[in-house]
Amino acid sequence: MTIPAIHQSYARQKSFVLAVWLLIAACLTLWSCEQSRVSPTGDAQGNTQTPAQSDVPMKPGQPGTGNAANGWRSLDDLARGRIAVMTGAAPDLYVTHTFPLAQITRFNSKADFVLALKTGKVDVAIDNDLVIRAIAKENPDLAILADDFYNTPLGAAFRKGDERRQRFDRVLETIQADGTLAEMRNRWFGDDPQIAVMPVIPTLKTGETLRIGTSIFTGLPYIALIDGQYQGFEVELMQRFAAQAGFRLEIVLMEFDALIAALAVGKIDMIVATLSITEERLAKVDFSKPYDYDRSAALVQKRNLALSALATSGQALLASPENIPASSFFDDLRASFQANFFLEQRWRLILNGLWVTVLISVTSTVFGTLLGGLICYLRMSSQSLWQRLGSGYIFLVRGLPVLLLLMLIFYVAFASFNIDPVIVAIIAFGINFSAYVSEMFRTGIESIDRGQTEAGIAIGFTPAQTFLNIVLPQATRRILPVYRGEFISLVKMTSIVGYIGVQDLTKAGDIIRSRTFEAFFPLLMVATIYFLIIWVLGLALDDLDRRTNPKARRTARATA
Amino acid sequence: MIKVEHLSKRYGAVEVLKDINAEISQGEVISIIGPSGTGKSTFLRCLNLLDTPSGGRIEIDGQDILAPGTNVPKLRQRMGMVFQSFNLFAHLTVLENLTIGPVRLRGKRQAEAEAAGTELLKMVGLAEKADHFPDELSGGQKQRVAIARCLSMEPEIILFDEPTSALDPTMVSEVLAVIRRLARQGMTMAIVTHEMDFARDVSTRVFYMDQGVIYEEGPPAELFDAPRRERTRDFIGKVRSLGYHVASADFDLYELFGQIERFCEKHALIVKIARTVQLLAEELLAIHVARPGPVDIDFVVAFSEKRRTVELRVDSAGEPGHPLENAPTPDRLGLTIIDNYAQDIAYERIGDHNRVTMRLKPA
Repeated sequence: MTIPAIHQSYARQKSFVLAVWLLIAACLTLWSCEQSRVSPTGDAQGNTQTPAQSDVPMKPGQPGTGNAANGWRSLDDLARGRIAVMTGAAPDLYVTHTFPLAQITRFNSKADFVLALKTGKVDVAIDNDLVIRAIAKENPDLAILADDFYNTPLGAAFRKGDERRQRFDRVLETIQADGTLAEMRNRWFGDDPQIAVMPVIPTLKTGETLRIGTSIFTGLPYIALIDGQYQGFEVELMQRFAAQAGFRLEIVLMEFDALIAALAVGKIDMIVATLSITEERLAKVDFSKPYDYDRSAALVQKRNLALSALATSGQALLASPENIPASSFFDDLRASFQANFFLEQRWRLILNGLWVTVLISVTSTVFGTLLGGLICYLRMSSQSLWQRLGSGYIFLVRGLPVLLLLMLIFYVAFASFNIDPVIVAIIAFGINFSAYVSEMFRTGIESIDRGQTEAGIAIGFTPAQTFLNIVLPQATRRILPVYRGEFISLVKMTSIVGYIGVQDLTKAGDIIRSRTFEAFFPLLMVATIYFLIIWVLGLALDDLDRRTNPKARRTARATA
Repeated sequence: MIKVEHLSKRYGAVEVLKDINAEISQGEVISIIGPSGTGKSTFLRCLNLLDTPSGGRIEIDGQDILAPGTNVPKLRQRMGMVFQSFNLFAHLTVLENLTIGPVRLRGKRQAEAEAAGTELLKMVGLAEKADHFPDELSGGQKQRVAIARCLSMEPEIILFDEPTSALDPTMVSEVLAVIRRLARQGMTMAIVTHEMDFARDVSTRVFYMDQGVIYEEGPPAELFDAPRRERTRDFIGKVRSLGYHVASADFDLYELFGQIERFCEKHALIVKIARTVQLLAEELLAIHVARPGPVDIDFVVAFSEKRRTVELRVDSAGEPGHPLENAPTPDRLGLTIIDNYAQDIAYERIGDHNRVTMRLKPA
């Protein structure tokens, strides 16, 4: 078999794997569509005792079990239920305090939070009422169980003693006095924040930069990324503040639970992220005067709601099973694709995320490989000091979860530098990669028998020439399979860069999910793209493998 | 051409080379023989500085190569080395093994180097293997390629480090034939080898190395047929020996018995001989440790494979005098036993030692 033929068969094998993968993806999508279609009528086991069909009077739900067989009437029915909240938000505190026996799950993204509810992983999701209403509007199978059971003020957070807080408060007073704030409330907190139009507020192109940290996962009406533009009540608030106080606004998107830390070390100047003013937070940061109040609402699956509760909540069944138009799998797929990819130019998000993921992966691989070479050199040095330095480095880096390494570099090492988080990610992943590959290099080099090195030196090569001409080509070939594995895991590991505010592919998927509240399609789409990245970048390593295979080289020469 | 003075090499506390003095001239073929672990390979590796000597001087054409500032890689280009384990470059074809040096180090053009390489491969009989990889060759073929690789650098001397030790017996001769051919062509060579017949007919001079020194040297006829010194004789006569040091009258006799038993098993001596040697060892040492003064005795069992004879030797420190003839009365029985088994018993005074040598009667 000639080399082109081998290559072709190899490529065929690859396409086969790809085809299988896409098939799995398609099946999962189909399944998810089926799931979402049946969910309003009953659970997957075909339990048809839904409020709509049952005319037997409802008994009160059994308190303390989270059992929805008879429907829930109030939040107290869920004292022992499974409750979803957003990490660190006001409901978190409320639920922890009020329902000590409940099983509380904390989420960082609203999309995950809604998904958990829709798939029955939790019984109830508690959050800001405006957000919950927006979600309920878009998801006919969900309904509000209770609302306004607590009420906390929302404020903008500043570092302690920052005088910008007073300026913010003054701007807040001004817009309150001239009715702008009321206008804003009408615009965003009305019936449908989706159709609200962001007013054009003149932005400054020069002047002192004000970096406001926020989290996209709050969702409308507060903040959302639509058509590549930030929109929502809080965005308007930020823009008005920046314009009136003379700042050049820069919105920094971060994980919600990373915001306070980022503020503390100066990565951002203030936080506007539906942040409740709590005692605990006041100990760490200063808050502005409240600009809104976070009222609560609890969201459950509609079929779990007791009929009477449904009636009192004033919500009609928006879609009975009969009303759902019959659609084929491909129609659903097309609709999902349309919604998650084309609508609001979401493909741009994906494309940018893809670029960032590839950039971080490739650059940190190159950087990590070079650094790994250096560490390997130290490790194999005859000087015991260098040796210890090398093994100490490896010990340290390998003992650290890469997420912590990333955060340490961003929040501690580069705390006082205004550095592009993409560069921080490249450094962190490069450091992590170097610790692993340096040991690979060492074993690879040591696997080449010492005799060849001696023979090279005896011929008259210097040790460095011997290494480059004799050892390296052979070691490379032996290292390649494990190196490839490490590279693949690096590509996948980069999906955590969202923690330092980098919008990579995973984050792009999350942002789309935060808008569409659809889990399966965006997740599968992102997964498929990761698979493709790894496949394409893997081809480059295959090429290296072929080029360092001496026997393939000979055959190629023979056929040429 | 090469002059070595007071060369020494130690690895930590172990002194491998003690005091080597030697000279090798152009066109000479030197065979270096001797028991294992006596520093033959180390000596060779010190010559091209693969091992750094701990002391002494090495001069090549009058230039001290240990002096700082010596261009060692350049120097090594003039000295080829053939290893026991071939050490061919596994990622290169046979021909590439021969061209990498000339092209990268001597600035030859690829085509030129390939032509020269092909010539060398013809010389070692492997021209048709030019495009093969080392792992596709037999041991003998590999070693011939390794020799050709050395020659590709046009060296002035080739150092062979046990070139046939790693080969199947059937492949030894093809490699030796190539070396013989080089010898006929007048190539200067130093060969560490265990092939005595080969050493005898190919060398111009033989070094016998033992315990870190060149113990005896001379033309092969002289060294092989009439070695002047004892250890050379033992080695040439294929004498295997077991040494045991006794430092106290309460020495561990049973440990010695065990060693004698294993020694006899290893050299296929019958059990009866082993028992006899044990008995004689007990009696000889009993007489020796009973002598006045500090106990410092070396006991040696030597077995000559060539003559199939066993010899026992006892070296003891102390006043001059035949230990057996001055033995105290209770050991008369011991002496009788010794006399009974002995072919002959000899006594000599060597330095401050008394030596008793007894040869066993043939079994």
